[in-house]
Amino acid sequence: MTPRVVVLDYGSGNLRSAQRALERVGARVEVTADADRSLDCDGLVVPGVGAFAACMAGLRAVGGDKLVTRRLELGRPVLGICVGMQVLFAAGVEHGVWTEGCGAWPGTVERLDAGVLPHMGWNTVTAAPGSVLFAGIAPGTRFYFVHSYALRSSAAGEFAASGALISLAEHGEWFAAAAERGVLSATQFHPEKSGDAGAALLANWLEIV
Amino acid sequence: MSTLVLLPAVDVTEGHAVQLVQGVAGSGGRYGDPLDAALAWQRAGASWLHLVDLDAAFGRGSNADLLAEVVRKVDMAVELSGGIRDDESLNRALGTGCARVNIGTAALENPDWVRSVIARHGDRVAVGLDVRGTRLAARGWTAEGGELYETLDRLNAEGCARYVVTDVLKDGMLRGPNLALLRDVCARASAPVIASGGVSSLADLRAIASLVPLGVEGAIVGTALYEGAFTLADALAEVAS
Repeated sequence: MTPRVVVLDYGSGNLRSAQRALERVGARVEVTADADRSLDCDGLVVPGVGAFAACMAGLRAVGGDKLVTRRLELGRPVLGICVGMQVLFAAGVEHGVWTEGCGAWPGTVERLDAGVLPHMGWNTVTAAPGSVLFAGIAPGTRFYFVHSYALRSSAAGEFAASGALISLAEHGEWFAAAAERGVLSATQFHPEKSGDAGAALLANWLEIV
Repeated sequence: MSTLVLLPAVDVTEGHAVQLVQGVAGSGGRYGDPLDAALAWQRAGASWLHLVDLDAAFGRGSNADLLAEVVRKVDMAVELSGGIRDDESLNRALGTGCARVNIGTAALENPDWVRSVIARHGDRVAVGLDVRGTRLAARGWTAEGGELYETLDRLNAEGCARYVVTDVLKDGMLRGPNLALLRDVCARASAPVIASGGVSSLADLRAIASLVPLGVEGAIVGTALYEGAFTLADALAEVAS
Protein backbone atom coordinates (compact mmCIF):
# COMPACT_ATOMS: atom_id res chain seq x y z
CA MET A 1 0.00 0.00 0.00
CA THR A 2 1.24 3.46 -0.83
CA PRO A 3 2.33 5.23 2.36
CA ARG A 4 0.63 8.56 3.01
CA VAL A 5 3.10 11.17 4.19
CA VAL A 6 2.52 14.72 5.35
CA VAL A 7 5.30 17.28 5.06
CA LEU A 8 4.45 19.71 7.85
CA ASP A 9 4.04 23.19 6.43
CA TYR A 10 4.83 25.59 9.26
CA GLY A 11 6.63 28.19 7.19
CA SER A 12 10.08 26.67 7.37
CA GLY A 13 12.02 24.42 5.14
CA ASN A 14 12.40 22.86 1.86
CA LEU A 15 8.84 21.71 1.38
CA ARG A 16 8.68 21.12 -2.36
CA SER A 17 12.01 19.33 -2.55
CA ALA A 18 11.04 17.13 0.36
CA GLN A 19 7.68 16.41 -1.26
CA ARG A 20 9.24 15.52 -4.58
CA ALA A 21 11.97 13.38 -3.05
CA LEU A 22 9.40 11.38 -1.06
CA GLU A 23 7.15 10.99 -4.09
CA ARG A 24 10.10 9.72 -6.06
CA VAL A 25 10.51 6.83 -3.63
CA GLY A 26 6.85 5.95 -3.69
CA ALA A 27 4.99 7.97 -1.05
CA ARG A 28 1.77 9.87 -1.55
CA VAL A 29 2.67 13.26 -0.14
CA GLU A 30 0.65 16.18 1.11
CA VAL A 31 2.16 19.50 2.23
CA THR A 32 -0.07 20.89 4.95
CA ALA A 33 -0.27 22.14 8.53
CA ASP A 34 -3.71 20.62 9.03
CA ALA A 35 -3.62 18.98 12.48
CA ASP A 36 -5.93 16.05 11.71
CA ARG A 37 -4.19 15.12 8.50
CA SER A 38 -0.78 15.47 10.12
CA LEU A 39 -1.86 13.23 12.97
CA ASP A 40 -3.58 10.59 10.86
CA CYS A 41 -1.04 10.12 8.07
CA ASP A 42 1.34 7.16 8.00
CA GLY A 43 4.46 9.29 8.26
CA LEU A 44 5.04 12.91 9.26
CA VAL A 45 8.05 14.86 8.02
CA VAL A 46 9.14 17.93 10.00
CA PRO A 47 11.46 20.01 7.83
CA GLY A 48 13.21 23.12 9.10
CA VAL A 49 15.85 25.65 8.17
CA GLY A 50 17.23 28.80 9.74
CA ALA A 51 17.36 29.59 13.41
CA PHE A 52 16.29 27.15 16.12
CA ALA A 53 14.17 29.75 17.93
CA ALA A 54 12.36 30.85 14.78
CA CYS A 55 11.64 27.25 13.79
CA MET A 56 10.40 26.43 17.24
CA ALA A 57 8.14 29.49 17.25
CA GLY A 58 6.77 28.53 13.83
CA LEU A 59 6.25 24.96 14.93
CA ARG A 60 4.39 26.01 18.09
CA ALA A 61 2.23 28.41 16.06
CA VAL A 62 0.72 25.47 14.17
CA GLY A 63 0.72 23.17 17.21
CA GLY A 64 3.49 21.13 15.65
CA ASP A 65 5.25 20.41 18.93
CA LYS A 66 2.10 18.83 20.40
CA LEU A 67 1.51 17.01 17.15
CA VAL A 68 4.92 15.36 17.31
CA THR A 69 4.37 14.37 20.95
CA ARG A 70 0.95 12.94 20.18
CA ARG A 71 2.19 10.95 17.22
CA LEU A 72 4.97 9.45 19.31
CA GLU A 73 2.42 8.45 21.97
CA LEU A 74 0.41 6.76 19.24
CA GLY A 75 3.48 5.04 17.80
CA ARG A 76 3.30 6.86 14.48
CA PRO A 77 6.55 7.58 12.64
CA VAL A 78 8.00 11.08 12.45
CA LEU A 79 11.08 12.20 10.51
CA GLY A 80 12.84 15.49 11.32
CA ILE A 81 15.14 17.10 8.75
CA CYS A 82 17.92 19.61 9.51
CA VAL A 83 16.56 22.13 12.02
CA GLY A 84 13.50 19.87 12.01
CA MET A 85 15.86 17.38 13.71
CA GLN A 86 17.31 19.93 16.09
CA VAL A 87 13.94 21.04 17.48
CA LEU A 88 13.18 17.47 18.53
CA PHE A 89 15.74 17.81 21.33
CA ALA A 90 15.15 19.34 24.74
CA ALA A 91 16.73 22.66 23.84
CA GLY A 92 18.89 24.66 21.50
CA VAL A 93 21.39 27.45 22.18
CA GLU A 94 22.11 29.96 19.43
CA HIS A 95 24.05 33.17 20.00
CA GLY A 96 23.78 32.62 23.73
CA VAL A 97 20.00 32.36 23.62
CA TRP A 98 18.51 29.22 25.13
CA THR A 99 15.31 27.98 23.51
CA GLU A 100 13.18 25.10 24.64
CA GLY A 101 12.66 22.42 22.00
CA CYS A 102 10.01 19.74 21.58
CA GLY A 103 11.78 17.62 24.17
CA ALA A 104 11.14 14.33 22.42
CA TRP A 105 14.83 13.53 22.89
CA PRO A 106 17.28 14.53 25.64
CA GLY A 107 20.13 16.86 24.79
CA THR A 108 20.92 20.43 23.80
CA VAL A 109 21.74 21.53 20.27
CA GLU A 110 24.80 23.78 20.18
CA ARG A 111 27.15 25.47 17.76
CA LEU A 112 29.78 23.17 16.31
CA ASP A 113 33.37 23.81 17.29
CA ALA A 114 34.76 24.12 13.76
CA GLY A 115 37.02 26.48 11.88
CA VAL A 116 34.59 26.97 9.03
CA LEU A 117 30.86 27.41 9.57
CA PRO A 118 28.32 26.75 8.30
CA HIS A 119 29.19 23.16 7.58
CA MET A 120 28.03 23.22 3.97
CA GLY A 121 28.59 20.47 1.47
CA TRP A 122 28.76 16.73 1.02
CA ASN A 123 30.07 14.65 3.88
CA THR A 124 30.24 11.02 4.91
CA VAL A 125 28.25 9.56 7.78
CA THR A 126 29.26 6.74 10.09
CA ALA A 127 26.01 4.85 10.45
CA ALA A 128 25.04 3.51 13.86
CA PRO A 129 25.05 -0.30 13.96
CA GLY A 130 21.49 -1.46 13.41
CA SER A 131 20.37 1.77 11.82
CA VAL A 132 17.23 1.42 9.75
CA LEU A 133 17.75 4.68 7.89
CA PHE A 134 21.16 3.62 6.58
CA ALA A 135 20.31 -0.01 5.83
CA GLY A 136 21.94 -1.05 2.58
CA ILE A 137 23.74 2.27 2.14
CA ALA A 138 27.45 1.73 1.59
CA PRO A 139 29.97 3.16 4.10
CA GLY A 140 31.58 6.28 2.67
CA THR A 141 28.38 7.44 1.00
CA ARG A 142 28.03 11.21 1.13
CA PHE A 143 25.06 13.31 2.19
CA TYR A 144 24.43 17.01 1.80
CA PHE A 145 24.71 19.23 4.90
CA VAL A 146 23.98 22.93 5.53
CA HIS A 147 24.12 23.85 9.22
CA SER A 148 26.18 25.40 11.99
CA TYR A 149 24.47 23.74 14.96
CA ALA A 150 23.92 20.13 15.90
CA LEU A 151 23.81 17.70 18.79
CA ARG A 152 27.53 17.43 19.46
CA SER A 153 28.71 13.92 20.21
CA SER A 154 30.22 15.22 23.46
CA ALA A 155 26.68 16.18 24.51
CA ALA A 156 25.00 13.02 23.26
CA GLY A 157 25.77 10.73 26.21
CA GLU A 158 22.35 10.77 27.80
CA PHE A 159 20.67 10.36 24.44
CA ALA A 160 22.88 7.40 23.51
CA ALA A 161 22.28 5.82 26.91
CA SER A 162 18.53 6.04 26.27
CA GLY A 163 18.91 3.51 23.49
CA ALA A 164 19.05 5.91 20.58
CA LEU A 165 20.91 4.92 17.44
CA ILE A 166 23.14 7.89 16.69
CA SER A 167 24.90 8.09 13.31
CA LEU A 168 27.83 10.49 13.35
CA ALA A 169 29.55 12.85 10.98
CA GLU A 170 32.61 15.01 11.53
CA HIS A 171 33.11 18.68 10.85
CA GLY A 172 35.58 20.14 13.29
CA GLU A 173 34.17 17.66 15.77
CA TRP A 174 31.84 14.69 15.73
CA PHE A 175 28.13 15.35 15.86
CA ALA A 176 24.82 13.55 15.37
CA ALA A 177 24.21 13.40 11.62
CA ALA A 178 21.14 11.25 12.15
CA ALA A 179 19.32 9.63 15.02
CA GLU A 180 16.66 7.00 15.48
CA ARG A 181 14.74 5.96 18.56
CA GLY A 182 11.48 4.10 18.32
CA VAL A 183 9.23 5.69 15.71
CA LEU A 184 11.14 8.97 15.76
CA SER A 185 13.94 9.46 13.22
CA ALA A 186 15.85 12.52 12.09
CA THR A 187 18.69 13.65 9.90
CA GLN A 188 20.88 16.72 10.30
CA PHE A 189 21.67 16.54 6.59
CA HIS A 190 19.16 17.06 3.80
CA PRO A 191 18.12 13.72 2.29
CA GLU A 192 16.03 15.61 -0.26
CA LYS A 193 19.23 17.28 -1.50
CA SER A 194 21.41 14.21 -1.24
CA GLY A 195 20.68 12.61 -4.57
CA ASP A 196 20.53 8.82 -4.75
CA ALA A 197 21.82 8.35 -1.23
CA GLY A 198 19.09 10.59 0.15
CA ALA A 199 16.48 8.76 -1.87
CA ALA A 200 17.71 5.43 -0.49
CA LEU A 201 17.47 6.78 3.05
CA LEU A 202 13.95 8.11 2.51
CA ALA A 203 12.96 4.77 0.98
CA ASN A 204 14.29 3.06 4.13
CA TRP A 205 12.22 5.39 6.27
CA LEU A 206 9.09 4.64 4.22
CA GLU A 207 9.65 0.97 5.07
CA ILE A 208 8.79 1.71 8.70
CA VAL A 209 5.87 4.09 8.18
CA MET B 1 22.73 29.59 8.94
CA SER B 2 21.30 30.83 5.70
CA THR B 3 24.72 31.87 4.46
CA LEU B 4 24.98 32.07 0.72
CA VAL B 5 28.39 31.18 -0.72
CA LEU B 6 29.64 33.82 -3.13
CA LEU B 7 31.82 32.80 -6.04
CA PRO B 8 33.38 35.80 -7.73
CA ALA B 9 34.14 35.01 -11.35
CA VAL B 10 37.30 35.42 -13.36
CA ASP B 11 36.71 34.82 -17.07
CA VAL B 12 39.84 34.19 -19.09
CA THR B 13 40.38 34.60 -22.81
CA GLU B 14 43.70 34.58 -24.70
CA GLY B 15 45.57 34.65 -21.42
CA HIS B 16 43.77 37.66 -20.00
CA ALA B 17 40.95 38.24 -17.55
CA VAL B 18 38.22 39.61 -19.72
CA GLN B 19 36.96 42.09 -17.23
CA LEU B 20 39.28 44.35 -15.38
CA VAL B 21 39.22 44.26 -11.61
CA GLN B 22 38.89 47.80 -10.52
CA GLY B 23 41.89 49.14 -8.78
CA VAL B 24 44.18 46.17 -9.36
CA ALA B 25 47.72 47.32 -10.03
CA GLY B 26 49.08 46.00 -13.27
CA SER B 27 45.71 45.24 -14.71
CA GLY B 28 45.46 48.38 -16.72
CA GLY B 29 43.92 48.54 -20.14
CA ARG B 30 41.03 46.52 -21.31
CA TYR B 31 42.31 43.29 -19.89
CA GLY B 32 43.73 42.24 -16.56
CA ASP B 33 45.99 39.49 -15.38
CA PRO B 34 43.85 36.51 -14.26
CA LEU B 35 46.01 35.77 -11.22
CA ASP B 36 45.89 39.40 -10.08
CA ALA B 37 42.14 39.37 -10.49
CA ALA B 38 41.82 36.15 -8.52
CA LEU B 39 44.09 37.39 -5.74
CA ALA B 40 42.08 40.61 -5.51
CA TRP B 41 38.96 38.56 -4.75
CA GLN B 42 40.94 36.52 -2.25
CA ARG B 43 42.08 39.66 -0.44
CA ALA B 44 38.48 40.88 -0.38
CA GLY B 45 37.55 37.76 1.57
CA ALA B 46 36.30 35.28 -1.01
CA SER B 47 36.50 31.62 -0.05
CA TRP B 48 35.56 30.44 -3.54
CA LEU B 49 36.61 31.44 -7.04
CA HIS B 50 34.68 30.68 -10.22
CA LEU B 51 37.38 30.43 -12.88
CA VAL B 52 36.31 30.18 -16.50
CA ASP B 53 38.24 29.32 -19.66
CA LEU B 54 36.13 31.19 -22.17
CA ASP B 55 38.21 30.06 -25.14
CA ALA B 56 37.68 26.42 -24.21
CA ALA B 57 33.99 27.06 -23.62
CA PHE B 58 33.61 28.41 -27.11
CA GLY B 59 35.88 25.75 -28.60
CA ARG B 60 38.41 28.23 -29.97
CA GLY B 61 41.44 27.57 -27.79
CA SER B 62 42.66 26.81 -24.28
CA ASN B 63 44.12 28.61 -21.28
CA ALA B 64 44.61 25.39 -19.36
CA ASP B 65 48.16 26.03 -18.15
CA LEU B 66 47.35 29.52 -16.98
CA LEU B 67 44.26 28.36 -15.12
CA ALA B 68 46.27 25.60 -13.47
CA GLU B 69 48.74 28.21 -12.28
CA VAL B 70 45.95 30.32 -10.80
CA VAL B 71 44.56 27.29 -8.97
CA ARG B 72 48.04 26.55 -7.56
CA LYS B 73 48.65 30.08 -6.35
CA VAL B 74 45.40 31.01 -4.65
CA ASP B 75 44.20 29.90 -1.24
CA MET B 76 40.57 29.83 -2.31
CA ALA B 77 38.61 26.78 -3.37
CA VAL B 78 38.33 26.96 -7.13
CA GLU B 79 35.46 25.93 -9.34
CA LEU B 80 36.84 25.43 -12.85
CA SER B 81 34.57 25.89 -15.81
CA GLY B 82 34.69 26.09 -19.56
CA GLY B 83 34.98 23.49 -22.28
CA ILE B 84 35.04 20.42 -20.06
CA ARG B 85 33.31 17.92 -22.26
CA ASP B 86 35.54 14.83 -22.56
CA ASP B 87 37.97 12.79 -20.44
CA GLU B 88 40.98 14.73 -21.61
CA SER B 89 39.63 18.15 -20.65
CA LEU B 90 38.11 16.75 -17.46
CA ASN B 91 41.31 15.09 -16.28
CA ARG B 92 43.31 18.20 -17.03
CA ALA B 93 40.86 20.29 -15.03
CA LEU B 94 40.76 17.90 -12.07
CA GLY B 95 44.54 17.60 -12.24
CA THR B 96 44.95 21.27 -11.37
CA GLY B 97 43.85 20.50 -7.82
CA CYS B 98 40.71 22.59 -8.10
CA ALA B 99 37.90 21.84 -5.65
CA ARG B 100 35.46 21.02 -8.40
CA VAL B 101 34.79 21.34 -12.09
CA ASN B 102 31.68 22.38 -13.94
CA ILE B 103 30.68 20.11 -16.76
CA GLY B 104 29.21 22.32 -19.42
CA THR B 105 25.73 22.04 -20.80
CA ALA B 106 27.22 21.03 -24.14
CA ALA B 107 28.48 17.83 -22.52
CA LEU B 108 24.89 16.81 -21.89
CA GLU B 109 24.79 15.92 -25.58
CA ASN B 110 26.78 12.89 -24.44
CA PRO B 111 24.67 11.45 -21.60
CA ASP B 112 26.74 8.29 -21.21
CA TRP B 113 29.87 10.26 -20.57
CA VAL B 114 28.16 12.56 -18.07
CA ARG B 115 26.76 9.56 -16.22
CA SER B 116 30.20 7.98 -15.96
CA VAL B 117 31.76 11.27 -14.80
CA ILE B 118 29.18 11.65 -12.03
CA ALA B 119 29.75 8.05 -10.98
CA ARG B 120 33.55 8.42 -10.99
CA HIS B 121 33.99 11.86 -9.45
CA GLY B 122 30.96 12.49 -7.22
CA ASP B 123 30.91 15.93 -5.69
CA ARG B 124 34.04 17.11 -7.50
CA VAL B 125 31.75 17.56 -10.46
CA ALA B 126 28.91 20.01 -10.91
CA VAL B 127 26.73 20.06 -13.99
CA GLY B 128 26.04 23.37 -15.65
CA LEU B 129 22.50 23.97 -16.78
CA ASP B 130 22.38 26.88 -19.18
CA VAL B 131 18.70 27.62 -19.54
CA ARG B 132 16.66 29.53 -22.03
CA GLY B 133 13.00 29.38 -21.05
CA THR B 134 12.54 25.72 -20.14
CA ARG B 135 15.11 24.47 -22.67
CA LEU B 136 18.81 23.92 -22.24
CA ALA B 137 20.98 26.12 -24.39
CA ALA B 138 23.92 24.14 -25.64
CA ARG B 139 27.26 25.05 -27.18
CA GLY B 140 28.03 28.75 -27.03
CA TRP B 141 24.40 29.33 -26.09
CA THR B 142 23.40 29.24 -29.74
CA ALA B 143 22.34 25.65 -30.26
CA GLU B 144 19.38 24.27 -28.38
CA GLY B 145 19.78 21.33 -26.04
CA GLY B 146 17.16 19.15 -24.36
CA GLU B 147 14.24 19.98 -22.17
CA LEU B 148 15.43 21.27 -18.79
CA TYR B 149 13.27 19.24 -16.44
CA GLU B 150 13.65 15.93 -18.26
CA THR B 151 17.39 16.39 -18.13
CA LEU B 152 17.26 17.34 -14.46
CA ASP B 153 15.28 14.22 -13.59
CA ARG B 154 17.84 12.11 -15.41
CA LEU B 155 20.78 13.79 -13.68
CA ASN B 156 19.07 13.43 -10.29
CA ALA B 157 18.72 9.72 -10.91
CA GLU B 158 22.39 9.50 -11.87
CA GLY B 159 23.42 11.10 -8.58
CA CYS B 160 24.58 14.50 -9.78
CA ALA B 161 26.01 16.29 -6.71
CA ARG B 162 25.48 19.92 -7.70
CA TYR B 163 23.87 22.07 -10.37
CA VAL B 164 25.06 25.42 -11.67
CA VAL B 165 22.04 27.18 -13.12
CA THR B 166 22.43 30.03 -15.58
CA ASP B 167 19.64 31.89 -17.28
CA VAL B 168 21.42 32.73 -20.52
CA LEU B 169 19.06 35.62 -21.16
CA LYS B 170 20.12 37.21 -17.86
CA ASP B 171 23.84 36.51 -17.69
CA GLY B 172 25.99 39.60 -17.92
CA MET B 173 22.93 41.76 -18.36
CA LEU B 174 22.71 43.20 -14.83
CA ARG B 175 18.95 42.79 -14.93
CA GLY B 176 18.48 40.63 -11.87
CA PRO B 177 18.54 36.86 -11.43
CA ASN B 178 15.71 34.64 -12.60
CA LEU B 179 14.35 33.74 -9.16
CA ALA B 180 11.40 31.80 -10.55
CA LEU B 181 13.75 29.56 -12.48
CA LEU B 182 15.93 29.00 -9.39
CA ARG B 183 12.86 28.13 -7.33
CA ASP B 184 11.61 25.70 -9.94
CA VAL B 185 14.99 24.01 -10.33
CA CYS B 186 15.40 23.73 -6.54
CA ALA B 187 11.99 22.13 -6.21
CA ARG B 188 13.00 19.55 -8.76
CA ALA B 189 16.68 19.04 -7.92
CA SER B 190 17.88 16.41 -5.49
CA ALA B 191 21.18 18.27 -5.05
CA PRO B 192 22.23 21.83 -4.17
CA VAL B 193 22.14 24.62 -6.73
CA ILE B 194 24.61 27.37 -7.57
CA ALA B 195 22.93 30.42 -9.10
CA SER B 196 24.69 32.08 -11.96
CA GLY B 197 23.85 35.12 -13.93
CA GLY B 198 22.00 38.37 -13.61
CA VAL B 199 23.14 39.61 -10.19
CA SER B 200 23.15 43.39 -10.42
CA SER B 201 22.78 44.62 -6.85
CA LEU B 202 23.01 43.68 -3.20
CA ALA B 203 19.22 43.39 -3.28
CA ASP B 204 19.59 40.66 -5.92
CA LEU B 205 22.00 38.82 -3.62
CA ARG B 206 19.55 39.13 -0.74
CA ALA B 207 16.85 37.70 -3.00
CA ILE B 208 19.07 34.74 -3.91
CA ALA B 209 20.05 34.29 -0.26
CA SER B 210 16.35 33.99 0.56
CA LEU B 211 16.35 30.84 -1.59
CA VAL B 212 19.02 29.12 0.53
CA PRO B 213 16.27 27.24 2.40
CA LEU B 214 15.08 25.85 -0.93
CA GLY B 215 18.50 24.49 -1.81
CA VAL B 216 20.48 27.35 -3.33
CA GLU B 217 24.01 27.03 -1.97
CA GLY B 218 25.88 29.77 -3.76
CA ALA B 219 25.87 32.52 -6.32
CA ILE B 220 28.40 33.33 -9.01
CA VAL B 221 28.98 37.04 -9.31
CA GLY B 222 30.86 38.56 -12.19
CA THR B 223 29.73 41.58 -14.12
CA ALA B 224 28.26 43.41 -11.13
CA LEU B 225 31.61 43.29 -9.32
CA TYR B 226 33.56 44.35 -12.38
CA GLU B 227 31.16 47.18 -13.14
CA GLY B 228 31.42 48.35 -9.55
CA ALA B 229 27.75 47.84 -8.65
CA PHE B 230 29.00 46.79 -5.21
CA THR B 231 32.23 45.55 -3.65
CA LEU B 232 32.87 41.92 -2.83
CA ALA B 233 33.39 42.86 0.82
CA ASP B 234 29.93 44.47 0.90
CA ALA B 235 28.44 41.46 -0.82
CA LEU B 236 30.04 39.03 1.63
CA ALA B 237 28.77 41.10 4.55
CA GLU B 238 25.31 41.22 3.01
CA VAL B 239 24.88 37.47 2.69
CA ALA B 240 26.52 36.69 6.02
CA SER B 241 23.98 38.76 7.95
